[in-house]
Amino acid sequence: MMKYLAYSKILIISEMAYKFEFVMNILSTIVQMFVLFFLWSAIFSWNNTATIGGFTLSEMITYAVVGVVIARILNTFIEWYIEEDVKTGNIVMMLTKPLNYVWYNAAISLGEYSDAFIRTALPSFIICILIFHIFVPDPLTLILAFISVFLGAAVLFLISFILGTFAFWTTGSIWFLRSLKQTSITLLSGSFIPLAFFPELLRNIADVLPFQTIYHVPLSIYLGKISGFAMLQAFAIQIFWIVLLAVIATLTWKAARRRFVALGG
Amino acid sequence: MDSMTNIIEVNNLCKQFKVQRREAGLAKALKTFFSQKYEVVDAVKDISFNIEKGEFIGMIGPNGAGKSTTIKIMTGILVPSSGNVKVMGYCPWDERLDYVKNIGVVFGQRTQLWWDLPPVDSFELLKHIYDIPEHRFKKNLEKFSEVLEINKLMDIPVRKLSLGERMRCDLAASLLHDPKVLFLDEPTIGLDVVAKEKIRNFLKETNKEKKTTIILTTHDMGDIEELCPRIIIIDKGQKLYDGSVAEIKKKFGKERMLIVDFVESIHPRFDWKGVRATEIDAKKFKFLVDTRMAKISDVTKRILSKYQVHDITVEEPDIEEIIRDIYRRGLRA
Repeated sequence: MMKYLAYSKILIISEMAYKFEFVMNILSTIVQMFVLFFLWSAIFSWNNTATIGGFTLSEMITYAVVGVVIARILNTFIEWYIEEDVKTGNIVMMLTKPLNYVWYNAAISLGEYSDAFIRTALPSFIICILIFHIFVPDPLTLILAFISVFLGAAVLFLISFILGTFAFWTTGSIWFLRSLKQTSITLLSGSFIPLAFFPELLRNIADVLPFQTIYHVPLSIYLGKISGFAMLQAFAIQIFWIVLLAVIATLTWKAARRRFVALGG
Repeated sequence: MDSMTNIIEVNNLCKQFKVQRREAGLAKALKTFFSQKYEVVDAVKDISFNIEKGEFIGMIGPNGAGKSTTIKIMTGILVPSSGNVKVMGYCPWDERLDYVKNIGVVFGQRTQLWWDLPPVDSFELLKHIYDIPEHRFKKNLEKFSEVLEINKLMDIPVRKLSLGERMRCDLAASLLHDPKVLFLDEPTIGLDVVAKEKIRNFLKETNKEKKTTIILTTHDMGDIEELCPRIIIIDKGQKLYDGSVAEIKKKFGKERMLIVDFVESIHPRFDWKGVRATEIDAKKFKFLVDTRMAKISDVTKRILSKYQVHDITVEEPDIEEIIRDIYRRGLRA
């Protein structure tokens, strides 16, 4: 386990080489938050209603702004790293190390998430509390929401890893697959618009896909929209997706390895 | 050979690849998009050899001969189509995770160092990956910094290092965990003379002091002559020769090279028995003389009697010449 965490650590150190990137990241995050703040304020005042889809304006702003914070953490480039490994042939170096490639990538992802959390998401979160006076739940709910973000991060990693293994069949497809992933997340995860606003059909589709476990679940916990048994259920669904996707990831990796062996690297 | 002392045993190794055929042009590209055609290529055809503990083996052969494939199978990266490999009792591809803890691997055109970070960070990472005890890690790192002269490079980001500097760091990285077997795939490729010399000295010392078994592929016959008492020549996926460098010189080095500078440009035909002439330029010729069929002195006399000559030099063909000849003509002596 320690050897994988060493990879998380070196990735953080490596990211630190780009010293001023994080200042830019925080600034762009704040700008994005302002855009969403004005957008939702305008929507609420035009409609002249106190609530939309069960959300008050203040809840909606909290949802949108905290959603941006989570998006800052969940910025993984795993599919690109895998494609790079395949394209450059560096995968060969990885295979000569006593490492499981899935765990190795998980460790890299954890490093990315941690770096983004410490240097961008956490400062942005504190700044947005000060600027927008958003709702902050009690510590226990906050911790549960955080755990839920972590589980969502695992789901996102596994989806990215599975897409990344496609690089063994065709390099160059990764850009397209990544865009597809981003679009699916924007539309179906609840990161942009709460799932409660969706028409029934779209809502049902979102419910049976893994994307909603990435934003909808943690944000709903944060806002206290789900609690008690419903929260346990939401956690169970997250864990279900992690297990299922982990099995798929292991299988696609095995298939990728077979393909690599057949083509001779 | 006593199998007890063999650290590596390779038996009847075969590897076939599927190679994608892509034809030029847009229409053809679209066609291959819908129906991919594969061709089966034999990269390695029935190769067997044993290596004893502490040996320093040079593996040579032209590009695409199957050297790298053989190395990739021996390091557990690829699975052969058939045949057996045992290294230290492990089957490299079946027991990869346990096996690779005991080997070091360097691929000349790749690096295992982190691009944006100084080498010392990568070394630190390797300490965790291989679970190297702190005291041993420190001792090895000190030793390597001294012999490979990398102490001044330790805190420079890898992307700013020269190829030679990077390769020295990569070598250190591959040996931090004291592997019993070291695989080097073209470690001196693209390096200047000084850098090559440093690396060769280091490898020599490692092989001698730690009894590390080293398998090296290279195109540089200087590497071979300085480092490897035994060579394995591979061509078209097959083993052409397995034996000592001295032996191959004795066996195939029966030719002497005569380089003649003529005063005027000549257009002769030298169809003398045992002599092969090649034109270097109009006034300069190279004669390969098979000393079993023709005497150097006779050939020289004949040339001098017919032509005006500026200069004649006689050279023993070096190993490079011999190897080139073997690639070209096979093992027929």
